[in-house]
Amino acid sequence: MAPTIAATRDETARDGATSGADVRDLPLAQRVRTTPGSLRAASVVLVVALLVLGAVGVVVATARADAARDVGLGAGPELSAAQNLYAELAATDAAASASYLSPGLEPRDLRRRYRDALAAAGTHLARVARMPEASPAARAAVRTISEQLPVYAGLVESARANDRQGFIVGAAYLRQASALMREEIITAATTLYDDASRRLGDAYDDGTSALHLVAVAVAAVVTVVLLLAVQWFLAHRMRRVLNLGLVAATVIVVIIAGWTLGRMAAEQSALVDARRQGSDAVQVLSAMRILALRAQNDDQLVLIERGGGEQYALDYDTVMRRVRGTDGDGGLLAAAERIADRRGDPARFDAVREQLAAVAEVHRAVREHDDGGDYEAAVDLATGDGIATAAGLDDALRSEIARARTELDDHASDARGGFGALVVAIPILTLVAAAVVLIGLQPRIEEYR
Amino acid sequence: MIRHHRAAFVVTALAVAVFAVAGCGTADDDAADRAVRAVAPVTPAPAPDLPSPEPAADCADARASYAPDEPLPPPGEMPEGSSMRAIQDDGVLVVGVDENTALFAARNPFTNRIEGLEIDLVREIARAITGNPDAVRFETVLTAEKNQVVADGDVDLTASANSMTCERWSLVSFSTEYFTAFHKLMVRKDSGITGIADLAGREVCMTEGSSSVKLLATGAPDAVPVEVPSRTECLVALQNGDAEAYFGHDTFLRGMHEQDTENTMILPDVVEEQHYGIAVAHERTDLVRFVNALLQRMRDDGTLAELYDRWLGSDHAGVPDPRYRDEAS
Repeated sequence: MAPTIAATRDETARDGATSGADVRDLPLAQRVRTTPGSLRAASVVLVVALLVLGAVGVVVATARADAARDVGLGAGPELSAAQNLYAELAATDAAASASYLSPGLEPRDLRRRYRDALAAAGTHLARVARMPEASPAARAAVRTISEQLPVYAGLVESARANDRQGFIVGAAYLRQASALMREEIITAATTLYDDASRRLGDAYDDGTSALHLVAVAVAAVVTVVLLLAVQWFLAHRMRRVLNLGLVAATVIVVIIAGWTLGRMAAEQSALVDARRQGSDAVQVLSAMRILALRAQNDDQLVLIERGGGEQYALDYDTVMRRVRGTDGDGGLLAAAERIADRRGDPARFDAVREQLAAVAEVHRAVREHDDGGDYEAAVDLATGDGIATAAGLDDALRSEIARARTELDDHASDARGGFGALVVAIPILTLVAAAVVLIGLQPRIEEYR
Repeated sequence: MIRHHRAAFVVTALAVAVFAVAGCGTADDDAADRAVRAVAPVTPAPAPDLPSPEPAADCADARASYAPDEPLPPPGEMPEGSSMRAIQDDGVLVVGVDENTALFAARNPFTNRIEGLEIDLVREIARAITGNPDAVRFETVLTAEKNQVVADGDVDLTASANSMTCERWSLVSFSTEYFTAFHKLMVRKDSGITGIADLAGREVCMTEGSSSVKLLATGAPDAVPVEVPSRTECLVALQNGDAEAYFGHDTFLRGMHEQDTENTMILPDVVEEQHYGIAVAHERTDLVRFVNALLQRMRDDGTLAELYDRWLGSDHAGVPDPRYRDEAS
């Protein structure tokens, strides 16, 4: 494209009745009405529009980058920690009651499971306690857990010490331990989990806000329209076909807008994938794991309680309904399968489904024995097949959670990449565009001097 | 014009880009919310209130039961139409037990088998009806509901440290007394409590719905009652210092004291005698008479005394004499 095409002089002559020096003495309104005044005003407006576009671009890109980083490195890992804490607490309680219920000396692997889960709960609690943006309720919850977990462990050890001597008061200690876990510790863990889940949801919303895109698009469209309008003015009033500076500025604006929108679109799409394939699956599977552990614990507590255990039987039914739905085909399992479906892997949770069915089958048989008065057979089944199937389900859920977590991490990492260059490039490009606008218009203004 | 076309193109392209990007931003279901809701705490259902029974109208002597039929029919040959025949035909005697009373009825933690004096007693009843002492199905019941399950027909009978009182006679019928217990205090050794007179302002643990609650309210009105659902939790309360004394039958105290001999002691003061009977539904008087006949035979041939010796050693007040409210039918 040729540089500044020659303008015809008669156009200049008509508008050039007043010279550049005279214009400066006129009041603002009249000054603007003159051609050089209009051009000066236009250059100011264009520079302002470009700076606004640049500012909007930087602000929006920074907000998106922060949100994407929060998903991948802040709220996401915090939710994982809260989920892990909750799950390990449930696993601790399930292992404690399974050890207690086992006739005679507690099996070594159950004891190890209890100790590992308790230690893991402590580790995750430390991680959760470091959450920088935790709400006051979450802080109180961390305090409750830190205070009560040692009390819980003490009660479990008292139960164990009594049980080893054949003292039935051990069952009362275990009951108190479990009540403490369920009523105070787990309730506090739920608060932490809610808090972390809400913050991850907020991070997703921030990272996929349509407002950001609209702001950039509107700023870009307004700037382009202004650039085109000034070009049209130059072409019609001054018979200049193209002003190279304005053309270059228009191209730069389109590049800024395209790059910003493109990066945000890629980030948004990665975040949507992170949510739909990663964190949704992690959340649903973690909830299933937590509830399955609670159900296992319920099953054992019914047997440990010996009378007055109905509350645990009812709890088991409620919890398993949440996991599998009323007909064994709904609940969280169905939600997990919908997630697997939408990524074209509908058979992904077949193993989990089978394990759940096995757990439910053992539960049914245990209840049948116990309700039929055959307590010893019920305990044998619950501590044999019951613990084995529950462990199988837990392992299956854990490996699926790990898999979904990897997907979450991968997509979150895609989402936060590339913003660094963009945030540096936007101000540079904006300043370049403003400079070429001024460079392009200055000769036209100079023509009136 | 070219410029206009270009302007239109740029604007359209931007608009398309914005809508395309904004459109794919929303998740299509609430999987995460659902997960959060699912792990919310489960609200436990409130325990049903049990009606507190009025004293039975025809209760002159709560210890008097129906006189036995003589002689006992041979095992497995119960008379047609009798309650015992129904049990024989079912092949199993359904018994409500409390599993938290060491020496009387408790799970042995090493074998998970329920055992104790009351368990052996109901096995004798099962043997007398069916010929098989193991033809028993144990249903575990809480103290507060042990008579209600009999009245409701959920179990054939309960032998569960059940004191014969006129209030309870309004709900169930009792066999003759098979054991005499004494209401006593077990205290922490460091509490300094030496008798019921020292209880003012002290925390005293009791089982919810037990006869102890009322008895303490009259005997030591200034004591601070601490009620727990099952009595082993009273030992926990004592060990943790949440209570300084446990008020209950010496039968329970004995089993609990054995679990912590160094730090607790049973005070000798007897606050009240308790007379244990086997509870049977009102309409099954034939079963009451049958059980009474069996108890009488066990008193006569020394079987009951042997059970005492096996479970309690020499530490008991002896086999109580039966009292009857009528002649044999």
